Amino acid sequence: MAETHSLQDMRQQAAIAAKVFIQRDYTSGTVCHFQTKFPSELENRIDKQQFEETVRTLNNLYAEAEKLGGSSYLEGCLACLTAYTIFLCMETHYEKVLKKIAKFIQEQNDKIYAPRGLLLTDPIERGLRVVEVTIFEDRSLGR
Amino acid sequence: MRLNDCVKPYTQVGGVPASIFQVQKRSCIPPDIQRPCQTYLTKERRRGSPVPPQQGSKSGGVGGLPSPPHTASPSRPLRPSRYVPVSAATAFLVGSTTLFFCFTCPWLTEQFSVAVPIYNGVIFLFVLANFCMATFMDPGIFPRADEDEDKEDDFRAPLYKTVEIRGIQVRMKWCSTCRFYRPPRCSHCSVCDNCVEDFDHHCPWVNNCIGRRNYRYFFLFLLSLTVHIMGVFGFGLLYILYHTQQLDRVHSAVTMAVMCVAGLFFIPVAGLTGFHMVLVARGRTTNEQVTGKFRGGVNPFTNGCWKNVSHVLCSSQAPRYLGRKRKLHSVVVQPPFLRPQLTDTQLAAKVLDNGIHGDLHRSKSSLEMMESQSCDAEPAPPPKPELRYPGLSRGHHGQHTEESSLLNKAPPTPTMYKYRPTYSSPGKNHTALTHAYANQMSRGDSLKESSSLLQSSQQPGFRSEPSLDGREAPGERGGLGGGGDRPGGGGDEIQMKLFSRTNGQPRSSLSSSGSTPSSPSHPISMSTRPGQAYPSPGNTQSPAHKPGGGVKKVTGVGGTTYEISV
Repeated sequence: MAETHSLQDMRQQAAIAAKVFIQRDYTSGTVCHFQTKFPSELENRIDKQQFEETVRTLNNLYAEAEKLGGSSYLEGCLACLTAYTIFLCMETHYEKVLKKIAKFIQEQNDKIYAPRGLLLTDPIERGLRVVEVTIFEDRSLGR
Repeated sequence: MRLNDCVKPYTQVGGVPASIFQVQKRSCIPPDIQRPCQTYLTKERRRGSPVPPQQGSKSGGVGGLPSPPHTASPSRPLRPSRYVPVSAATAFLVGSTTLFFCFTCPWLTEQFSVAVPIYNGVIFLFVLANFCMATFMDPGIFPRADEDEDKEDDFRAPLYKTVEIRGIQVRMKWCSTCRFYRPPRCSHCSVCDNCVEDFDHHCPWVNNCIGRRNYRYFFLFLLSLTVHIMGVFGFGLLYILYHTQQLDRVHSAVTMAVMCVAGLFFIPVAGLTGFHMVLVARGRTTNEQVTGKFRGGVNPFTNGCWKNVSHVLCSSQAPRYLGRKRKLHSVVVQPPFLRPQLTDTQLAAKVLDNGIHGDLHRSKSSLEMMESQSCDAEPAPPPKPELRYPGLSRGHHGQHTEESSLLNKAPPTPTMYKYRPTYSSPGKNHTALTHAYANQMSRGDSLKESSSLLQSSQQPGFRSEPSLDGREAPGERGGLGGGGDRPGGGGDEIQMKLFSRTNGQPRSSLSSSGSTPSSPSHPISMSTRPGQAYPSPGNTQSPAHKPGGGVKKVTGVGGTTYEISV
């Protein structure tokens, strides 16, 4: 769902207060796994459970992408047989899961994070090194 | 020679090399005495300066976009010398094979079977395909980190960060060009001026780095080239053996020339193939093998021979990071924002809080401070004013969020500046201590402050006290117990116990701090602790599980011992 932003829309967007970066968890090697530890900056913005659920789901999706299964093996064989020309027309397994992840993040942003003044950035934009959480300024009164 | 060069990058937990005595900072010398020869240690920061676009030639994978939105290396001057090896390799490969097909194969086809040229043709096609993939595919280049990702000051941040991978301490080095800590197995290629994931080596014969994404093609190229050379040589020999009486013919001469070229290249190619077969079986990269990272140590990245091989050959093609279509955020974020409900304990915390301590978060750093004592002999600079949010950069972001209404009652004295909370180690391993340590190591923070914090921490259940530094009571963060679950508030004593229980290693994180080294000049905690840590001077404490009682002893600099009940 691509939207073009008019200048007015851009002005209406809240100002960025801070950015939190969820780092990778390398305890099980170089598999893509993000730390589920709840950052303190988000404590008063979102439920810990919710956040951890998001990160856990992300981790599961990445695990699925990197899985050494029959499908990835077949894909490799097919690529070999076609002298890798198959990559021009077919999407790899990893890319398919990345699309799923992008959709998931978009959905999480729409439903959960944007209403709370937060925004998740797809980690692929950062080379799968960090999950960037943008915290927006809350200028509303009270509290 | 840099201190860190003496150190083996991979060490077993518990065996901290004694040669690491001092955390090396990204900019480890004060600006007033900075010398040009040491500038390589300085983290380059050019805030506001435009990052030049990346070299386009290698940034696309198969079907890649022409203009990568992410930047990597600046456009480098054209160096024709870089293209000599790859041109020579291509010329030899294509030229020799063409000659073979034109002069040797026709007779072989007539004499034996059409299968001969078909077989050789298929093998040659395979060689070419893998060669092209190895040459033109993005090896796994990391895009440069954005400015806002790195919030750390030059003089505060360490050059290395240590993570634990399957029980083995692995160092991640700060890349000043790319502006992030290099993930494990990542290395910066000086030829391409990029950080490459799972960096193997830079191959001049394909004029490309070999990394995570194209290692498979490189390996298959070597394998298929070996087979191809053997085939060409073998069939050429067959031809010659049948034409011993007609060696003066052009065909024979060409065949012999091709055989010579094949024979000449066979030895290095086969040698390299064998070398890489061993590497694949052992789950190592060329970089790791050549730099001797596993000499005497254990490889944390191996999964066994079979899994290593299947990972190289059968895993799905890794995605490229550059040249991706950047998705526009179609979400408009506008206040008013939802807030999570405070739990009863959090409310209780706020009620008990007399306003002096304000920030619940800051107690985390207080706990961290008392846990880790810096070994730095230098006098501590005055602590920076506490940020309302640890994650916020100093002052730029100016406004506090409304959550800080409580916090807006500023503490009477400045409190500890927090160091990179997001770089903390995962769940079970506490992060607080690591942060505190790093904070201390990098700033040489005041121990006086720590001692006052320690005193306040000795009273479990005591939520706040009018201490000088306005620190909140102990246990809020359960920094002692581990960085795991951290509810926003809660009874500190209860919380500390909770953390101890929920922490997978209830004692380990405490033990390294509690079981103190005898000399006060050594830091209490650190790299031996599981999880993220910074290289600590000479601490040979093992992270495991000291069977402690309910009280931990922490020795500060100066020999004072504090007891913390857990």
